[in-house]
Amino acid sequence: MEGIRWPFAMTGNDMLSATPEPGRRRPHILLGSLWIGAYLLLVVSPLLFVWLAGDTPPGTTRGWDFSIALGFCALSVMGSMFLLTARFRWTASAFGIDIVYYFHRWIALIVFGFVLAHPLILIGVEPLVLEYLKPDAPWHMLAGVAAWLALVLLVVLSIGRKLIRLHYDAWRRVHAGLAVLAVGLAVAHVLGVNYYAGDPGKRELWMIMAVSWLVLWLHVRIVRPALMQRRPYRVTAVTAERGDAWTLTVQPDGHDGLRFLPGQFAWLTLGSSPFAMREHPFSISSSAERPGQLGFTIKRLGDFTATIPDAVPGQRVFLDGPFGAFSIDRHAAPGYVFITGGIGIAPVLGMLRTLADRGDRRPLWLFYAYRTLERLTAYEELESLKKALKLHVVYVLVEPPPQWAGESGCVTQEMLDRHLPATRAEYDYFLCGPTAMTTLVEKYLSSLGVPMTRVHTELFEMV
Amino acid sequence: MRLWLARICAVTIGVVLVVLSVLFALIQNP
Repeated sequence: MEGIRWPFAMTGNDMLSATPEPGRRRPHILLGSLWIGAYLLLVVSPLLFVWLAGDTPPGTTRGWDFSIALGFCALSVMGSMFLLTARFRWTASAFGIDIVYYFHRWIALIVFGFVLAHPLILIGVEPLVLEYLKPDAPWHMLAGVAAWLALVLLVVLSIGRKLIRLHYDAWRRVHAGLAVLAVGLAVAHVLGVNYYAGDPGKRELWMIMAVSWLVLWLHVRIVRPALMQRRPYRVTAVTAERGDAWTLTVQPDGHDGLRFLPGQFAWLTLGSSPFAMREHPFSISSSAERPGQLGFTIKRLGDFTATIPDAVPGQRVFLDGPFGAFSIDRHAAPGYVFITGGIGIAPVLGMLRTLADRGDRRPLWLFYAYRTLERLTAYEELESLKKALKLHVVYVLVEPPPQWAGESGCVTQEMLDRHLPATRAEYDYFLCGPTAMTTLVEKYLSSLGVPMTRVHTELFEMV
Repeated sequence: MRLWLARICAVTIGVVLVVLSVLFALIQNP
């Protein structure tokens, strides 16, 4: 993802049901807790394997076995990444997939510490381990060293991608390749060492786990793109918007398209095969009541987004979606407040257009922060939506024009307090914009007495 | 808030794994 790309929060359960049920609240906390527990069980399973099957070999030393356990945990967490990034709607339904990816980044950094510590502790306990770094070392030890190096390179490239100006698409391919290489070599290392995984029963458990990771990888890289290729879309229009943005409109080609909740997003592949790993997530900015025409309002922020105006009607597009937990249809409320910055307006536009199509008469507030009036994406449409909806729009301009009577600067607590009614705690809030802005606004809303369960955010920076 | 929850969750799982690794070493080497 080059720079800020568009929104990003996914759900799952919604689209598993054929018909989304607007306003139905789900026990997300319970479901989330269950998933966290299941994930924990999954990542500690290699330690359990030691006792689950066959004879348990005797320990060596505490330091040595601690290091081995860290290595086992590191490998199982690395393998679990294939599950975390597989975009299964049922796994992300409780959190939103933006958070799943965010968690993936954090747990990867933590486990990277385990991977670094694993050989260092072994060397500390037994300096002769250094002999395994030589080229004539046993193959399984060389596999371990290679896995370690692949993982180090993977993490360094992920952290330093922008610094070394590595193209997002190229990075994704390298990232996926290194991940498979690192995990494959690490499994070979564990099986080759043949100690805590030496018993046939234990080896079977390890093989089952490794094969399940491989199946996940094949599903993501082969099966899903094949399914996408069977359901293509065609570009019908590319419309210039204010603020260096375009709306790309597509329609299904030979199938019934996708049903989505307002505010959700999809991974879009434009100008290449779905197998090429050149997909990018964008919010659907069109109405969920008009699934025959899907609109994506996209701002020029990097290499891929700069090519959007070059799209031509009739061009093939592939979509993977819908995803996202950032939707009014997941949260019933007597009214909604949207607080956005910049192109964060995209999913909000989708929700407002949907509400207008439904003839919704609930009170709505939109705080829309941008640098200048000229750059306010969809300004004219928002003005017309004010007539179709009970919508109060508060434009907040960093650089207001002369004679500007509206709000200027940043969204502040005092500003929110002034515009929102006394019944503010009853409404649901949707925040979408730069992370710094949403973090601050969350604090403001909490100070203003809005329960945090009513505040929903969307992240749009993955890498 | 969701960001913090994700971070806390990741750090907690990391700590749990370290603790379990320590327990593993202790159980294997009583």
